[in-house]
Amino acid sequence: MQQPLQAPAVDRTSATLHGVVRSAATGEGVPRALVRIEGNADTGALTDGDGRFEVPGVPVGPQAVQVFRPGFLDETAEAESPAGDGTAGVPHDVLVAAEMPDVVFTLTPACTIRGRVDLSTGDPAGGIEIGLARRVVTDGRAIWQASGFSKTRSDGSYHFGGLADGQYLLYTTPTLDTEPPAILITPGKTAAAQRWGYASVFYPDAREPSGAAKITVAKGEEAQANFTLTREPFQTITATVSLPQNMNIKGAGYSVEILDGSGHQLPYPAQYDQATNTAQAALPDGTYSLLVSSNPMPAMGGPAHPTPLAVLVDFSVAGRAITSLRVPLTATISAPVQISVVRTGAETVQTQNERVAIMVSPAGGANHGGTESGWIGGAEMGEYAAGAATGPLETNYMAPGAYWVHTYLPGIGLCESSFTAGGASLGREPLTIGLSGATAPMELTLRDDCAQLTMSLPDNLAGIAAGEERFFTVYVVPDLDFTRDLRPVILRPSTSRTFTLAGLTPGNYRVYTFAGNVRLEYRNPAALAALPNPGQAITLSPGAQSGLVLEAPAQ
Amino acid sequence: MRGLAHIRISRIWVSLGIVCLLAALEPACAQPAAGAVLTGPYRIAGTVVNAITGEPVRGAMMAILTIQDSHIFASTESGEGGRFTLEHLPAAKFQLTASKRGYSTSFYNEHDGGYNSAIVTGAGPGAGEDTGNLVFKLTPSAVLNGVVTGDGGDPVEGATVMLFEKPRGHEPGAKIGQAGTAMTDDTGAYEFADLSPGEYMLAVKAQPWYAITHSSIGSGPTGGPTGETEAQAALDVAYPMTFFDSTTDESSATPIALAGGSRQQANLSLHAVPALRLEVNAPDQQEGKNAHPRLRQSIFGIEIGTGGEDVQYDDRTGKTEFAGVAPGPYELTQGDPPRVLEMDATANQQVDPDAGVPTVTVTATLRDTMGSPLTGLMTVTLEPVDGGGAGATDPSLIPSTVPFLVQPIVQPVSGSSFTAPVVAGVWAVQVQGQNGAMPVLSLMAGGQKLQGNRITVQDQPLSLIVTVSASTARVEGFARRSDRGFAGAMVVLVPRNLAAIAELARRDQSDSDGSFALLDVAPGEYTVVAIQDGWDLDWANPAVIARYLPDGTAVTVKDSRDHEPDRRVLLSDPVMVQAR
Repeated sequence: MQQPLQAPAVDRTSATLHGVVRSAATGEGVPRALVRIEGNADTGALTDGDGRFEVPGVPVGPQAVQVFRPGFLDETAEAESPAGDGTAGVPHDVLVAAEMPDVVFTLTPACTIRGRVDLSTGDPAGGIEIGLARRVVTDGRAIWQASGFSKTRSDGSYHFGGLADGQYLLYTTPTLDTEPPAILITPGKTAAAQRWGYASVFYPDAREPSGAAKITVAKGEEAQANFTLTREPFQTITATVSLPQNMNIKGAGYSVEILDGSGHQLPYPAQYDQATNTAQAALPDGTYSLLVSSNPMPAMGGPAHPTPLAVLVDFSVAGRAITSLRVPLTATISAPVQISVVRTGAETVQTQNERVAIMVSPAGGANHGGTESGWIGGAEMGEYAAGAATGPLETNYMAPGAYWVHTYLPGIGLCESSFTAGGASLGREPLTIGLSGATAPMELTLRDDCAQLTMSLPDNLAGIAAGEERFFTVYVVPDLDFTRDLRPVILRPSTSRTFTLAGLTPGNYRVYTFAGNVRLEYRNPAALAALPNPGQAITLSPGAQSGLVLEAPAQ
Repeated sequence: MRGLAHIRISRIWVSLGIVCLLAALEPACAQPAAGAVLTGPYRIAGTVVNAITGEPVRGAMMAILTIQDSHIFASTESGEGGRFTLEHLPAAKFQLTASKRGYSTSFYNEHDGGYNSAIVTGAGPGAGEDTGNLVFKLTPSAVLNGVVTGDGGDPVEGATVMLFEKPRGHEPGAKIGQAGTAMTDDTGAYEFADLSPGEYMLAVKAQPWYAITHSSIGSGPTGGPTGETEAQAALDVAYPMTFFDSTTDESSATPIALAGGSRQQANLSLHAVPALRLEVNAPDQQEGKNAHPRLRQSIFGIEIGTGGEDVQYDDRTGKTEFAGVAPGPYELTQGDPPRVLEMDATANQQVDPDAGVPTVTVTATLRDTMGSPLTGLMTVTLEPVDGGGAGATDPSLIPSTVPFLVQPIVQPVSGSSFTAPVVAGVWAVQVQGQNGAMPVLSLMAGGQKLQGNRITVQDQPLSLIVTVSASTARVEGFARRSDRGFAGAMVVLVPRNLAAIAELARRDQSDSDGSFALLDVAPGEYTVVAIQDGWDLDWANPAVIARYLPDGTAVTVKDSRDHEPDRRVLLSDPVMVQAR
């Protein structure tokens, strides 16, 4: 094929990028927005009063462009990348050529949630911490993710600005009414020390996140959320910590946490007092668990990684201090993950160096088969086990609770066949870790007859000569249970028309193609069923190298 | 006594690791068995009043803390008329504290420096203050807030607002100190709540959100004569350090006086100016020696982190470039041994490798009073001394030009000697051991003995022998007047050699029974004086303190060979409390 002739020009190596930045809410131009060319060309310009910009001297070729303006968000380049890996968002891909059309970028005005806190005592409500959680989709599940804290000003007012469109909930962090310069109480004197505080409240007035009102904001809206906090007694809980016999872990740190009845960590402060070997907390009336754990330091002649110690005690607070708790720390156990590999002989890659990593993230409470976690947080991953894919794998101690399992197979020779605990599929239900670290027997089955799928954009989807390049996000969702996280594939007509996914478990799949940036709730069958686009069904046979031309939606 | 006053304990458990060594002597150590209710015969009671208005304060949390480990022993809330009572207490010494929203948490009768009067129960009749009828003055907090705006009135988000407080009291060598840092929110607003009354200064450091800085080192296009295209230059801007009331000149900064309970607004506006590039040609002189130039910024004599500058090193040419630099005063350290250049950056410039003044190496050996080398972990601090001796300068005076290396040089020392590059000037040597301050008694330089802890560094390397007191004593006694213990007096331990007052003097506040303890006292001869209402005195000025000495109590603290810290020296005679 013959190369197209380039038009003669004075400067063929650079061009002027020009266009307008508009508000998604009003369609009007946004003044003083920064259009920035990334990379070597590192340059940019601010828009004028009409939102128009002109950046001269931009090298010809594909350029990554970011658009900023305080008080606005670029929905195309959301703060989180679709890969969910914490990297910067997707910038605008602009193909710069000598003859540039006007390029239009759209910014969405940021939303604000503001309000004030009133205290039942009538005292000024300064310094009360408010937590903000946003409904986000991460690893195919919708969760409420903590997305910021703000302290009330001295007049009791607070606000969260710069928010993206979405659903939010708000809660207060528990606080003592006043903070004397000491927090620990002399053991035995807890009855003589009265304290008051404000319990954690989910807006408007719930004690549990399930009772929280969801606040939906979009396109620069401003929502108001006021709290009234009622002062109540905070009782002192003192628990005496003891170690297993013949064990001396002097110098070890202790971690003390207060959990609710379902095992979620609560934001009540708890301290370990080394002088008296006690754990102390101040709590309003309610039912709680106290979790004390310790990671002993390696001792001379001892194991390099001594077994962590832990203990969990349930108790109720009802109008008086509790001093009788005894918390004997006991050694935890490592629940092994059994791994079996189904060999078909189809595989050509040597599997000896295949490795597997198993991560876990806290799951919501009673969340069987559901996808919406009832709890805030849940995005933090912890390494549970890692090693050779021939197993069995030792696991790291995790605090008791329910966890979603994420399996990583960095090579391409093996793929996940099933992962169960006590026969239950971990792709469908969270793993329950008991107090000592015990779980139902875990079995990970891998197979070596993985398939691969090459996806390509349709031929009728032409690339462009100049201007902003659209992109597509593709999810390849298995019809079977799986614990690996799906990475979306980004395809662009001019620069990356095809992509090959390898290491796919043979079976039925649905392939969803979206215009732009989409975080798909791929673990929620109801969310998938509700999509306007049913996806393309494809069956991958063992060892197959299949191809698929994507059905790209119009933009 | 001196308490935890200025340590705001957050929800982090701080290990205090206290052992009850003095169990036989301190009644509070003999604690009843765990689980027992309070059964003692004593009480602590009184009223809480607003320190400004004198009105009673209801609903204040009144807690008594154990002296040994600062645990809450008992607490209650003030009621009608601000009255509070803590009953059934054993005979012991407690720190009494009050806290309430909107007020600064404080200890009983607290004075600057964390001095306060502990309450002693069961001290007997005529022991001193009536612990059943205390008046606790609680100061309402002051609030300072405002909005930071940029060009065109746009709010500046993420600006660092730094609050500085002029020194209160008359601690020798007291300087202006940083009192807080706040970040502006998306509306440009900041707030400092919970401030004590005092005089404050504000400074703001921020970067224009749209700034794109360019370095001429490394990759990048070359356009105009400066290597930047016109479009790039338009965005290569910075906000200079800006002081209240919107001035970029530190000496024109306006102080903000805050009274207890007051609310004040202080808005600042920033103006973006072209950012500067500073090129430094200071190649590494020795393999493996990191002699990268450093740019430092100080305000009110306190080094603050530089930020916003883009630093590029060109390893090939040994050139360093600081890009995106806001105009203003900086201290540049370059070369090895380092040279220090005080500069007022107003334009792009190349810094000559010979610019600035050279530092000289000061080597010091630490000895105890017997001449033996010291062992163990210590920290040696060289503090620049500006102007004359203590008491001769107004400590709140802000230098109009930043002196050379205004920062203290802090050297952790393991073993008995240390080395530091130092610029010419007068420096005070301070030594901190594991058990507290180790007073510097004398310095020997070039065979000459100097009293006190000051050295004058000129252009020659200096070798010092620093004699410190490894053994320290704790001088305890009672302040009395008319045969009664006297609470709240300022107690000063004055060295016989008044010239050493800045280094060797110690202070305390007498407790409710008149008892006091002066800590970290070096061997030597002293006079202990107790002054009623003495807290506003410029006590470190020899001329001021001299008139109290004739009625003071002499004490000699003997040296001890075994480096024992905290040796107890009990004054058998009470110290007479003198009127101010």
